[in-house]
Amino acid sequence: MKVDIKSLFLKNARYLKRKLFPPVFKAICIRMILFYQKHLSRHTCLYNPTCSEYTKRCINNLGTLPGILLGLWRIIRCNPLSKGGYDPAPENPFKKKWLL
Amino acid sequence: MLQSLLSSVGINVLEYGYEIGLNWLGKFAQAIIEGCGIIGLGIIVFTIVLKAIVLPFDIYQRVSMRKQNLVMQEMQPELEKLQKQYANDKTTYNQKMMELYKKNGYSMLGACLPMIFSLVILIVAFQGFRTYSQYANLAMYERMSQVYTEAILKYAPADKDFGEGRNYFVLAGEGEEENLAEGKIVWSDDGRTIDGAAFGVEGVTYTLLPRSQNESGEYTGNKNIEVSSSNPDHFISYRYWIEEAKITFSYSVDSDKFLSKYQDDETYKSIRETAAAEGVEEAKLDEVAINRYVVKLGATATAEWYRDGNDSGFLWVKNVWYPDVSYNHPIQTYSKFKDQLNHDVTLKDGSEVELSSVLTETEYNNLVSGLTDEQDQPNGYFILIILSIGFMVLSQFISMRSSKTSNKYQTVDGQGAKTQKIMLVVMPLIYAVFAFMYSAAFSIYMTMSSVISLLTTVFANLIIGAIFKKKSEKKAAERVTRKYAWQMTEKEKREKEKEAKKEAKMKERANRFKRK
Repeated sequence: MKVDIKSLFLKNARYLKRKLFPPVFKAICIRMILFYQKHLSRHTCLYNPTCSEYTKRCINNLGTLPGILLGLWRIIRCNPLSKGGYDPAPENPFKKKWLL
Repeated sequence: MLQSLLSSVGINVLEYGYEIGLNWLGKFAQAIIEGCGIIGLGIIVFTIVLKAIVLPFDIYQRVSMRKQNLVMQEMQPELEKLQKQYANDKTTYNQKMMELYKKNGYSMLGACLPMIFSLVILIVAFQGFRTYSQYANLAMYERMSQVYTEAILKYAPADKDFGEGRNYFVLAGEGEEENLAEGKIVWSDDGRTIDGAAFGVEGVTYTLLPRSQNESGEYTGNKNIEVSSSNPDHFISYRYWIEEAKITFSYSVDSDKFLSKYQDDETYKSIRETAAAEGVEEAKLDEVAINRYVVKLGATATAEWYRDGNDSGFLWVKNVWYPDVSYNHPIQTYSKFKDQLNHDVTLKDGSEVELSSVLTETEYNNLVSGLTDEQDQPNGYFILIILSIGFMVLSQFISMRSSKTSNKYQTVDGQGAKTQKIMLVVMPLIYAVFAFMYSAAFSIYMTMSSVISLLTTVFANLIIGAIFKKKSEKKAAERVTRKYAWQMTEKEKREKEKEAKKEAKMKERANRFKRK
C-alpha cells in the first residue's frame, strides 16, 4: 500500500500544529474567565455581551494578548458615564468568510 | 606605640545609615504613615485615604444595588410568574425580563469599571504595605544599631571630623617612621586623595602604621592610622583606612586602660566569671570578657531605647510589621528576620548590597541580646485576624441581603444568589491567608476597610430606603386625592402643568445616561 506522506501531512497540518503547540495560554485565560462567570460575577454590566463574555470571545477570536487588551479597553468603557448597549466582539479579519 | 596594639582587643560596632529603596507605592504609604507619627493611627489614616478615593464608586455601586432591589421587590409577583412560565427557556426569560424592567423604569445601572477599580486599590494597598513594612522594620533595626554604636563609642575619642583642610600625618616614603611628613588632606570630587597631613587635636595622640608590602614588593593599600585618647574614660581606640572614596574604621579596646578602671566593676566581674565557667582559656579570658562587656553596653542602651516607646507596636500587637499571631515574636531570630526582608539594602552612597553584608548574624544577635523578653513574647493574639474576617463576613452578609431579591431573579434558576454564597466562603479564606502570611498592619487595613464599607452599605440603604418610601407614599397619596381637570381651579391647573414639565425634564436628563 502506498501512502503519500506529503499530502497526508498537508491535509492534517493544522491539526498537527495544534497537537504540537496547543494554545495553553488561551485555554488558561478562557478557563479563568469561565470560572469568574460561574462563581464570582455579579451580573452587572452595561453592555451586551457582558465584559467577561466579550473578553472571552476576543481571546478566542484574536489571540490572548489582543483579546486581553481589547477586554481591558471594554472594561474601561463600561463605567457609570457610558451608555452601554450592544457591542459584539470583533471577528478575526483573516478567518472571515467573505461572500463576495 | 606598637605596644598598644598587643594589649588591644578588637570589637565590633554596627554600621548604620542604610535603608531599603522604596517604590512610589511605598513612598505614598510612607508619606501618610510617617506624617501621622503613631504607626497604628497612620495605617488607619492610610486606609481612610484609599477608601476615600473609591468612595464615589462604592456609594454608586451600593446605591444602585439597593435601588435595583427595591424596584425588584415591586415587580416580584410578575417576575415569579415569568420564572415559572419560561423555566426551560433562558433567552426568552431574559427578553421578557428586560421588557418588564423597561416598563417599570428599572435600569441595570451596574458597570464593570467600579469593581475592577476597587480591585486595583486593593493591589495598591497590598504592594504599598509590603514594601513599606519591610522598609519600616529595617529602619527600626538601623536606628537600633545607631543607638548601639553610639553607646559604645561614648568611650572612644570623639574627634571624627575628617573634613577638608585638616592636617594629617601621612607616609611620605616607604612606610618607615622617619619618612613621616606633614601635609593636608585633599577631598576632590572624583575621590579623596591624601596630599599629606598632620593631626593637631588636643588630648589625642596619633600613630601611623606602615603600609603593607605585597609579595612583589609594591606598597599597596591603606594608611592604617590609630587614634587613641589620653582621657582615662576613653578606653576604646580606633584605626582607620582612607581609601579612594571611603574611610573605614576598626575599633579596639585598650585593655590596660580598661582593666585599670573596670577591674573591680561588678558587671565585669560577673561576666568574667560566667566566661570562666564556660571553659574559656585563662589567657583569653580577659579578651572574651571585655568583648562581652562592650556588647552588653550597646545592647543595654538599645533595649532602653526600644522600650522607650520606639517599638513599632499598636494596641496589643508588639510589632505591626509581623503577623498578629502568638507563635511569632516581636524580635525574631536572624533567619526569620532575613526572610521577611528578602531585599537588597541601599547604602548612603547609593550602592546596593545584600542585607547580610551590613548586618551579619552575630551582629544581629549582639544587637538584640538586651531584648530577651521580646524574643519570647507572643507578637499578638490572633485578634486582628478574627476581627478582619468577622467584619468582612458581616459587610458581605449585609450587602448580600440588600441585593437578595435582585440576584434571585437575575436568571431563571436563581443562580445569582449562589454566587454571593461562594464569595462569602472564598473571601474570608483569602483574608486569612493574607493575615497569616503578611503583617498585622495589613490586617488593620483590612479590618478598617471592611468597617468603612459596612458603614457605607448601611447608610446607603437607609438613605435610599427613605427616599424610596417618600416616593411611594407620594404616589399613594396622589392616587387618593387625584382631581380631574374639571374639578381643579385655575391655580391648581397651572401648578400641575409646571410639575409635569419638571418631571419630563428630569426624565430626559436621566435617560441621557441610560442604556439604549
